[in-house]
Amino acid sequence: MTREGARGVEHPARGEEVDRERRWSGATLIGALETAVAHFEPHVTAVNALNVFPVPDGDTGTNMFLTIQAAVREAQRLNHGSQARADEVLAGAAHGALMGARGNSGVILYQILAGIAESCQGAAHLDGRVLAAGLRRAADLAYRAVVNPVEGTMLTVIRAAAEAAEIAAAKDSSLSTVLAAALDTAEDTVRRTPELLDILRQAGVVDAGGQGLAILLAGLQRFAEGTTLSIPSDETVPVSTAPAAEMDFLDHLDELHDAEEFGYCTNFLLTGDNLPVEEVRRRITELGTSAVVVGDKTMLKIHVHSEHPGTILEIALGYGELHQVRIDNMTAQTRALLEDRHAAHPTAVAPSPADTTDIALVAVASGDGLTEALRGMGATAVVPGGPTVNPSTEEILRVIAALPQRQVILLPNDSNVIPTARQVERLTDRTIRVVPSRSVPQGISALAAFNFDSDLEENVASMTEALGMVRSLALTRATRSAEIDGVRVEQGQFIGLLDDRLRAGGEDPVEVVLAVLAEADPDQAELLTVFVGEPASPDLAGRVAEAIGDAYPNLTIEVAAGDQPHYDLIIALE
Amino acid sequence: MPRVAVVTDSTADLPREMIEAYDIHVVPLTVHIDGEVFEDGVSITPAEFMRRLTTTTTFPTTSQPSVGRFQEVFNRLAEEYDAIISIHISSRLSGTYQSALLARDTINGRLPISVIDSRSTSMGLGFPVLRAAKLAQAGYDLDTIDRATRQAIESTHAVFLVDTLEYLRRGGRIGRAAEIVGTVLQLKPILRLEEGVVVPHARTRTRPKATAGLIELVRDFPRIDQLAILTTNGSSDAERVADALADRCPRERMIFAELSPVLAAHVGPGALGVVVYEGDAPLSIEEVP
Repeated sequence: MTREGARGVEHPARGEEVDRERRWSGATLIGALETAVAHFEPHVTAVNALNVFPVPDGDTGTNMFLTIQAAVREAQRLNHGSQARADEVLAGAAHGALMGARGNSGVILYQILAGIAESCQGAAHLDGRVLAAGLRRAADLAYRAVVNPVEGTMLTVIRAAAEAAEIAAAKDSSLSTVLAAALDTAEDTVRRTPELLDILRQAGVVDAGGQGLAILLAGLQRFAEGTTLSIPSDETVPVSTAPAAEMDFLDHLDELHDAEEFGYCTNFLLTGDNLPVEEVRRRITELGTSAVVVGDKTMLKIHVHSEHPGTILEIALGYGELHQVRIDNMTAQTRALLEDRHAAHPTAVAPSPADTTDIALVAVASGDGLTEALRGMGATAVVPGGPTVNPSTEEILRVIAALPQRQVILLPNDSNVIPTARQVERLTDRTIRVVPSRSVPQGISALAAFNFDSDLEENVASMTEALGMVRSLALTRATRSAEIDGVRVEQGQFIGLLDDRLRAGGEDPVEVVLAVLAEADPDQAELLTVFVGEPASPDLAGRVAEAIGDAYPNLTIEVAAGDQPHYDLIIALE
Repeated sequence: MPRVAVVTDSTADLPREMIEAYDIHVVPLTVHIDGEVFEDGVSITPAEFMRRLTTTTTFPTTSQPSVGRFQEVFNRLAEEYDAIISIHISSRLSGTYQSALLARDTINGRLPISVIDSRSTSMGLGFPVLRAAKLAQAGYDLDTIDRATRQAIESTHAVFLVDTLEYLRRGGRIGRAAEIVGTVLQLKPILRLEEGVVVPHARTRTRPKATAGLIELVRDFPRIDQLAILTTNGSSDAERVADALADRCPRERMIFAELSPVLAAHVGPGALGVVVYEGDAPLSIEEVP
C-alpha cells in the first residue's frame, strides 16, 4: 500500500519504499521528478562547462535545468493529490517541458518526457516495462525531431539507455532495476561520446546534453533507492530567466493596462513643424488616463486611455497631422488576449482577437542596441535572449500572444534557439513560420528581405534565401584554452568566429578581426556593420573600423551600439 | 470642335518639349529654401535646386499654388477655350488639388472645369496629363477626356527608392512608410505610391540592392507600354535601370526626367523613381469626334 502524503516523504513507510523500487503512482512520480531536479541542480555549472567551443553560448546545463524544472512545476500545478495517476502526471510534465523548453537540449528533453508520457497512457503506475517502452518511444521521437541526427550526442545516449532498459525489463519489470540498467548504459555511452563525435574529442569534453540526461536518470535512480530531495523554492532558483519582452511602443501596451481598465486605448503619431510638446502632454493627460506622450517637436507618439477617443484626436488635430491611429476597446482587447494565452494550451480553441492580414516579425536578441537595430529593420517585437540565455517556448509564445497579427515569422538568431522556435507553431492558433537565422546578422539580412507586397510564404522564402547573403563574424574571449579546427587559443585570449566556427585567436583584437574577415570574402561585400557589445573597450570599435577601412576601402562601414553581453563585437558582412 | 485646355501642376515632371508640343498649362508650386522662395521649375531649375539642397543645412519646405493663382489661370484660359481639365498631384500629398477645386467654384458657370486628383505625382501625374492633352489636341470633348484621364490614372504606377527617409519624414509626406522610420542602421527603402500616399514595399540595406529590388518590382508589372525614369541630380543608376528594363520597354518608349524641386525637397538627394504606364484604354466608337 502506498501512503505517501499521510506521513510525509522524509519518513516513508516501509511499504512505500518497497513500492518505490517497483512502480510509481502519480504522486510518487512527482516526488521522483522533484528529486531529479534537486539532484541536477548542483551539476548545472559542470554541464555548462562541457562546451565544445571555448565561447560563451548555449548553456546546456542551464537549459536542461530550466526545462525539467518547468516540467515539474506543471506536474505539481495540476495537483491531483495522493490519488494522482502516473499518466496524468507525466502528461502534465511533458506539457510543462514543452512550454519551458530552452535550447536544443531542452527541446530533446521535452521529446523524451513526451515519449514516456505517451507510453504510460492509460496506466495508473509507471513500472519498469512502461518506462522501457517509454524510453524507446522517447528515443524515436527525439531522433525524428532532429533534421540531421548526429551520433555522439544526447540522441545516442537516450537510444542506448532505451535498449538497456528494454533488455532489463524483459527479465524484471521492477522500476529500480530498469532505471539502474538505463543509467549504467547512459553513463557508459556519455563516456564514449568523444569517440563518436570528433569535435568532442578535439575539445576534450563529453557531450553536455548526454551528460545532463545521465544526471537526470541518476536522480530518478536515487529516488527509487529511497532518497528524497526537495526542490529549491522559487526565491532560490539559481538561474535567472530572461526579463519581460521588450516591445514596440504602439504594439505592446499591456504594461500600461490595469486588469479592470475600461474605455478605449488610443494610440497615434502626431507630426508637425514645431509641436508644443509640454502643452500636448498636459492636454492629453487631462483628457484621459495612463497617458504617455513621447517624441520631439516634429513627431510625438501618443498613448492614452479615454472614454472619448474622438475628442483626443480632435484636440491633437489642432496641433498637426495624425498617423497610424489605432483605437482598441480595452475590455475586448483584454478578453482576446486572455483567450489567446489560453490557446497556448493545445486543447483550447481561441477566436481571432482582431482581423489583420499583416505579418508580425518576431526576433530574438539580447542587448538594447541589437534590439533597437532589429526593431529599426522591421522586427515587430524582440524576445530577450540569445547565445547565453536561450528563451523558452513559453517566453516566445507570450510575446506572440500580445501581438495583433495573425501571421508571425520567427527569427531565432541563434542555432540553439531554432528548436525552441519550431515548438511554437503547434501551440498557438496563429500561423507561425520559422526563418532559421543563426545569428543577429542573419536576422538583419532576413528582415531586409521582407517585402510589404508579398504574402507570408513568399516572404518566408525570400527571407530564408537572405540568410545566405550575409556572413556573421564575432569577437569574444576564450572561456578556456583549446585547440579546435587547427586554431590554438589560450583562456582569456581574443577569439574570432566566422559563422559560428572558430577561425582565429590572439592577444590583439584588431588582428583577430582582420584575420577572420580575410576568410569571409570581404571583396564581394558592400556593407560591414559592427555591433559593439558590453565587454568591448571604448576605443575598440573605432580601431577595428579604421583597420578594416584601410584594408578594404570599398566597404561601407557602419558602427552601431549592440550592447550584447559576452561578445565584444558582432559583425555583419553583406 | 470643342477646345479643351489641359492644366496640371509643376510636379508632373513632364519634359519641356512635351509641355510645348501638347500645349499643357503648368501651374507651379513654390519651394522655400534658406529663406528664399522659388516657383517650382520656373525661377529655379532642378539642377540649381539640387546644388542648394546638398549644401544647405536646413530642410526645404514647399507650398501649394494659391487659389488666386488658379483663378488667374482658369480665367485667362476661359478667353480661349470652351472647357478646362485640371489634373493634379495627390490630394493626400499636397493641397494643390484643393486650391484648384476652390478656384473652380469661384468662377463656376463661366465654363465647365473638371478638376481631377491623380492620386500620384511626377510622371504618375504626367502620363494621365499626356493622355488628356493628346485627346484634347485631337478634338475630344471634356467628358471623354475626363473619362480617359481617370482610366489613365488607373493604368499608372509609381515606385521609387530614397537614400534616406529623413526628407519624407520631415516633410510629413511619409504615409504608411512611417513604419520603416527610426533605424540605427543604414536603410535604402523601396517605396510605392498607392491611392495617393507613400507606402513601403521593402527595406534594403544597400543602394545596389535597392536598385535591383526596384527593377524587380517594375518587371513584375504584366503590362508596360511606357516607362518614365526620374532622378534627382542625374543619378547614375538611371542608365542601369533603363538597361535592365530594355527588354520590357524599348528605349524610345522611355521618358527620362529630373524630379521637380518641390518633389526633390520631399524625397531628398539620391532618390530614383520609375513610373509604369500600362497603356491607353480604348475609347468607344461613339466617342470619336
